[in-house]
Parts: sequence; C-alpha cells; structure tokens
Amino acid sequence: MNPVLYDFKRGVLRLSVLLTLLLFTVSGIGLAYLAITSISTTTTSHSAVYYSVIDASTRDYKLEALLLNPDYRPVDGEVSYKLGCYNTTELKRLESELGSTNREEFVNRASKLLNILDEGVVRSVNGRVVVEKNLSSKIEVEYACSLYINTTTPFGSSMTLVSVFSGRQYSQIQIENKTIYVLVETPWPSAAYPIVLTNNSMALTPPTTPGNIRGYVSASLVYITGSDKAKLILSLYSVGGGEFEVYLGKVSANTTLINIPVSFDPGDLEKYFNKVGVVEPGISSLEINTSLFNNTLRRAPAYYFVLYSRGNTSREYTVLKVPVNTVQSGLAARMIYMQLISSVGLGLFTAFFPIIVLYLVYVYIAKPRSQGALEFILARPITRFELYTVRFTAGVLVVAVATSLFYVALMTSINLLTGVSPSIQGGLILYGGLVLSLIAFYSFCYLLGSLTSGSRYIVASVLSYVLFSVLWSLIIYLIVYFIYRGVGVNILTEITRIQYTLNYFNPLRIQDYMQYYFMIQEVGEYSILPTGDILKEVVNPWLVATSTIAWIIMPFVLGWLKFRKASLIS
Amino acid sequence: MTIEIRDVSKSFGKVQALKNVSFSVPSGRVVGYVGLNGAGKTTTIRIATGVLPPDQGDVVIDGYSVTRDKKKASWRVGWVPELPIFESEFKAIDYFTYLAGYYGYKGSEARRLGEELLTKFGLGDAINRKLATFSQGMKKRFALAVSMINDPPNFIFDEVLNGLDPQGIAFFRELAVEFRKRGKAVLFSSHILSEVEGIADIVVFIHKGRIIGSHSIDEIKHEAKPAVELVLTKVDNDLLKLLGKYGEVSVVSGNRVLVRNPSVDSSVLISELVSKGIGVLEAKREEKTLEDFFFNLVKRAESGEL
Repeated sequence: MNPVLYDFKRGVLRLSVLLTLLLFTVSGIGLAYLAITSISTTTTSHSAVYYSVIDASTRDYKLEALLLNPDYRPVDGEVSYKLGCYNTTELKRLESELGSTNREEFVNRASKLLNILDEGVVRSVNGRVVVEKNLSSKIEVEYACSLYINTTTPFGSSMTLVSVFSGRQYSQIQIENKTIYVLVETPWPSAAYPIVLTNNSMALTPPTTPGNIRGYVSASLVYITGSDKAKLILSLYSVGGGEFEVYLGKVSANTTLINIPVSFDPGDLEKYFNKVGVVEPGISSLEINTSLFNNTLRRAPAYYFVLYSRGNTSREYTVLKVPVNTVQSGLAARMIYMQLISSVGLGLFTAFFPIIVLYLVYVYIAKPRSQGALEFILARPITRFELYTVRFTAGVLVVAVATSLFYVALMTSINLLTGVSPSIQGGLILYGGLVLSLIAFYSFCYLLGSLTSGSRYIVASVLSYVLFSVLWSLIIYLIVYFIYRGVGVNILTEITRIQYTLNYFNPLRIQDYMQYYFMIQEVGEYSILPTGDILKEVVNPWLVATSTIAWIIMPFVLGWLKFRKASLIS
Repeated sequence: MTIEIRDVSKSFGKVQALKNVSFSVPSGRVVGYVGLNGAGKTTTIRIATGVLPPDQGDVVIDGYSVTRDKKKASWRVGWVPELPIFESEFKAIDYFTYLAGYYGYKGSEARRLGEELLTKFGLGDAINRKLATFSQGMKKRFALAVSMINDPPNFIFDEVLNGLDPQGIAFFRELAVEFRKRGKAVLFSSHILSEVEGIADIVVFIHKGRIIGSHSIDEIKHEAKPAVELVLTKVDNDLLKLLGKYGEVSVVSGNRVLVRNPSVDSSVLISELVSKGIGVLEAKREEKTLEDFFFNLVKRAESGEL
C-alpha cells in the first residue's frame, strides 16, 4: 500500500483518531442543533396557518396547523395547544359585578371560568399537524371558545398566555339547529372573512346576518422578491363543504385595483376577475403567476379575491381584500447562516478542533521523533523529504476527512431541521474556509513538530493554539481600546477593521474571510455588525489567497529546512 | 556488494563525533567494528544507513551514495540497531505491513510476508502483539525481519548482542556467519572485541571518532597469544634457532627477545638456556588477550602513536 495512504489509514484507524472522527461527526450534528435551538428558542411572531372546527352537537373537534418558515415554506416543528371554553353569560355577569370596581378580582375570578377541554403536544409532518378528537365535555351555545397554541420551529417559538382574555377566538356559526365553532387564521393579516350564500348577486362587501354566514376564510398573499410566483395561503371552512373557485381581481398597470362594481352578477365574475385556482376547505395554498398582478406587487396595497362555491343546493362566496406581504428571498437561509457563522455555530468548531489538529501532529511526527522511531522508518528506501511529506500529507488527509464528516453532518442536520441548504459554490466556500484553516494550523504545528519534539512540542503548540484561537480577539480588542479610546471613533467598527486586517496573520482566521464570501454568495451581504462597507475595504481576495497559501506552504518549507538535517533521535 | 565508508566526519554541536572515518566492508566478509562506548560506532552506522546526514564524506553502498542516491542505497542495506525504536503502539504485523509499503508491497502481500519472516525469526507467537510489549531481543528480531523484507546484499548489526540472552547471542552470531556464506557484506559493531571473534574476518577499531586500526582477525589472534620476554647475555642465530624450537621468536631490541606461544613453561625454557651457557638477565611472561590487543591500540592512540 502507498505509504501516504497507509499512514493516513493507520492514522485514521487509531482509536484516538476514530474517536476524533466520531467527535467531528457528532459535533456537526450537535452544532446544527445548537445553532437551530438558539434561533428556535427566540420568541418570534409565529408564521403558521390554523384551521379548527368544533361541532358542538357531535363534539367533534378538528385542529389543523401548517407551520411555515420565514420564506413561507412548510417547516417541521412542535405544536402545543389547549382548547379552552368559558360561559360568556357568566363572564358578562362577573364583569358587570366587578369589572369596573375591582379589576384584579375580576381577572382572577374570570380566569377560573376557563375550562380546558383538550390539550396536547404534536410534532408536525411536512409542516402539518392534524388533530381530530371527540370532546368529552359538552359545549353549550352560550360558550365562547379559544385556542391557545404555541409553536416551536427552527425559526422561533411563540408564547400564548392561557386566559379568557387571550388566545385565538373561535367564531360561532348557528345553522340548521347546529352550533359550529370555527377558527381560521393565516399569517399576517389574520382577519377572518365570512362566507355567505349568494343568489344572483355578489357584493364587494358581502352582507352578513347571523343566519347568512356559512363559513369563514382567512387569507395571506405572499410575494417572495425575485420569484415569478406569488402565494395565496388560505384557511377556509364552509358548511357546504364543497370546493371553492378562487378569483383574483384584474389589475392594470396604473390602477392596482380594477374598477369593480359594488355588486355584480356571478356570471360577470370573469369580467372583473381572473380565475387562479380551486381550493378545498381546510388549509390550502395557491401559487399565482406574478404576471396576473401586472408588475404591481411591490406597490399595491391590496388585491381583491373572490372565493366562489357552486354547490348543488347552495352557492357560497366571499370577497377578500388581501394586502400583499412582500418577503425578501432567502430570509430563512439568512437567519440560519447568520447563526451558523456566529460564535455558537462554526465559531465553536474552530475554537476547539485545532486541539485535535495539534494532537494529530503530535501523533504523526512530534512523538515518534522524540521516541526516535522515525530513524527506523528512514532506514527504509525512502528519502527524508518523502518521510516529511508522507506524514504531512497523511495528517492533511485526516484533517480533510474529519472536516468533511463534520461539515456533511452539520449541513445535513441543518437541512433536515430547517430545509435550508447552501448552493454548491457557497457550500464549497464555507467548507474550504474550515478545512484550509485547519490545514494551515496543521502546517504551523508541523513546523513546531520539526523544530521541537515531545513535551516541548506540546507546550509550543498549545501556546500557539491559545494565542491564535483564544487570545487573538482579546489582544486586538485591547490594542484598539488603548489606541482609540477617547479619540471619538466607533470602537466596535475599529475592532472589526483591525481584526479583519490582522486575521491575515492568523492561520485559524482564514475561515472568517471564507464566511464573509459565503454570506456574499448565499444572501448577497454580510452584516453581522454595521460594518459591511468596512469589510469590503479590508477583505481582499488576493490577500486572502496569499495568506492562505503562505500559512500552508511556508511552515511546511521552514519545517523541512530544519528537518532535512535534524537528528531524529531524542 | 560492498559498504564503503569514505572520509566521513560528523559533529554534534562542538563535539566532533567522527573524523575522516574510512573503511570498507567487502562482499562475503564480516567486518567487526570495535570501539569503546561513545567512540563513534553508532554514528558511523546511522550515517551508513542514511538516517543521519554526514557533515563531510559519504557512504557508498554497492556504488550508491547514501547522501545522493539514498533510496537505492537503503534498498541494498539491512540494519539491526542496538536499541530498535518503533512506534510501539502498533501490533507487530501491522507495523511490518506499514514498513513493507516502502518496499512496494501491497497490504495482503505485505502481511503474508510479515507472517513468514516474523515466524522465521522466532516471533511467530507475537505477530499480533503490540511492539510495546516486546523485549529487546524481540525488537531486534523484529528489526531483522523488517530488514529482510527485500533480503539486501549488505547488512549492518549495531551492537546487536547487547542485552541478549545466550540464545539470542548465538542466533545473531550464526546469522552473521550465514550472511557471510551467502556472500553478503556484513558490518558487525561491538564494544567488546571478543564478541566479534569467530565472526569477523577483519576488525576495524575506532576511538574518539577516529579509525585507529584495521586488522585481520588472524593478525589480532596472533598478537594476542601469550609470550615470554627474555633479556639475555647474548643473542645470535644459534640462540634464535634454539628458541625457535619452543615458539615463535622475534627480537624486540638488542638482547631482548620475545618467544610467542611457548610450547613449554617459561621455567623450562630458562633452564634450557642456562644449561646451554646463555645468561638470562630478565624473564617476563606476558598473558595477552584480545581485549589487551584492543586496549593496547587505544593506549597507543591516546599517546599519539597511532
């Protein structure tokens, strides 16, 4: 077997290195979880679609939820919910009794009116959660019901207080001696529009009377910048249960809303509207070609939509005026990547894994040299230079394999958790930063291993690690602080400027530049701090390449100059 | 098939370990390389095996320079060090396989050869043992097995008998003799001259980094025989003829005569001389050993005579 491969193989097949590789892989998964957890535990306004129906007569209860990431794509997460109902008559009585005099007492006693009928925690599948149950408790007609729902996705968590005064309120529909509680909600705006019966006329504001309401619908219109599709997300319930045709009000280039009469005949629907699809009750999503919006998506305040069901016995419809929610593309990826390159993401990797690298050099050259074991190898038909390069290359291979395992584990975990994955080019830049940093540090340690051996190597390499990895930022901070204090400049900006300038002199900071280029490649900017312009001045691709090559080649060459004549026994 | 040490010098800091060392080991010969501890034997051998670069001079193995054509030179020489040091956390067979890779052997082929050679050199039961658990003797046998991967035409044993049990000593002595029979050039170093007796054809002596002598083993044995030194009243041909009956006679100086390897006791010899009317002014018996020969050389080197 080729000695390089054999050295690599025997290097890899050591228990310590195998544990290292396992550690790298587990670290990749762990760091992905850590990075995602730190986002997911951040309280954010949730992005989710809810649909819930309670049939008071049969006690059938259904809850559907669709969890969405910042790009409005389904994302998996956990939903914990409570269904609470309370007697509105009792609440009114209590309010009239205490509401104006003793607010604290009123709130205290009102909270005791809430009766939790169902609760649970459900994990989504492809972003969807479906709960179907038959409630054990009866829901009286004078009851009001609320849903208290908390979601946790990789992109944040929501918190809802369980109280009669909070939660998502169900709307009540009284029809054919049945009482139905309906909750429909989509992300911003979360208004519910009533669905009503129609005869031969439709109105932009459908007339609603208690007996006329046949259901509710909530809708969100989302436009991802740069996309050729807009997305209409719907949560819809109707008593009729049939499918609904969806129409978008025609748009001209000048007037965002075409002149639609206040009322019109259903036969004239296509005169004022374009049919964009058909939806079933429940949660649904329609993709609408942006050409139908006539290039107005960025400036239109809202668009008219008509939902029309041509049932056999009854025809139902509603008219929605839905504002467009313009979302910057890659928002989800941006959130993840910013976290990924932060101190709890790859920062942890580059903080700790150089220790493994300096150990590798110890195993490959410093220890056998201090033992005197290299001489016996050198007595084989091999030159000194070959011995030197074989061990260097074997170590580089171990570093590359270990980093690859870590990186694949990390990115696969992130993709599985969030659905986000970088482009091939971006992925290679980020991977390149990691592996080149570690190889540069390996090369530097290899130089130390050529200059010293045994315990002296350990001391020198650990001190180097502490300097390059731990003390580097602190030293820069102190330098900047003492130079610029009281001068009236932004210390933070100067720290960033000097840090990125001096990073060319630190093998472990090559990855900082690669992270900068990664963010430019993937999300178009790098703005962890308000220093984007400064980084453009300081980060120079030629200097990055020169620094990287120099950190890898120069220690190798200097080490060789020492090694070529060195005595290999202690 | 020769090992030629050509004018090799080497210093470690301010200490000059070797000064213009030159000698050669011809094929089918065992050259003993003898010197006190620290004389420069191991340094010479490390240079000869290519693991230590000389400051000056060169070592040529079968025409290939260890400094300029190291791979070819190393291919042609085997080496068993005094204290073989390996990356001892490995199993014997794994490390053998690794080292065999430098000779172009593939994994399975190298393992098969490893099993064969380790068994041949008495390590059959230790193939799967870690090298860290090996005794000195076992390590030397392992080094031998590795050096025999390509059965090189030249071999160097560096103080190989040190620390071995009688069985191990016999093994390596017999091996050196066998190598000579097979026409290999063998360099066998030791700090004890008698260790190379019966093995070496020629002995090269080194002291303080300098070669102080190179003698055939017969010459050394001859020099090391017991002798009677006599100071007589007269020395003439008749007298020398008479003494020749009792041993090898040589005139040291004037009336001083040396009778080597006398066939009779010195008192008998003196009686015989006196009975022939030759006055014996002084008689001294010398009991010289191989080591005496060696130390005599050292003494002469120290005094600047050599």
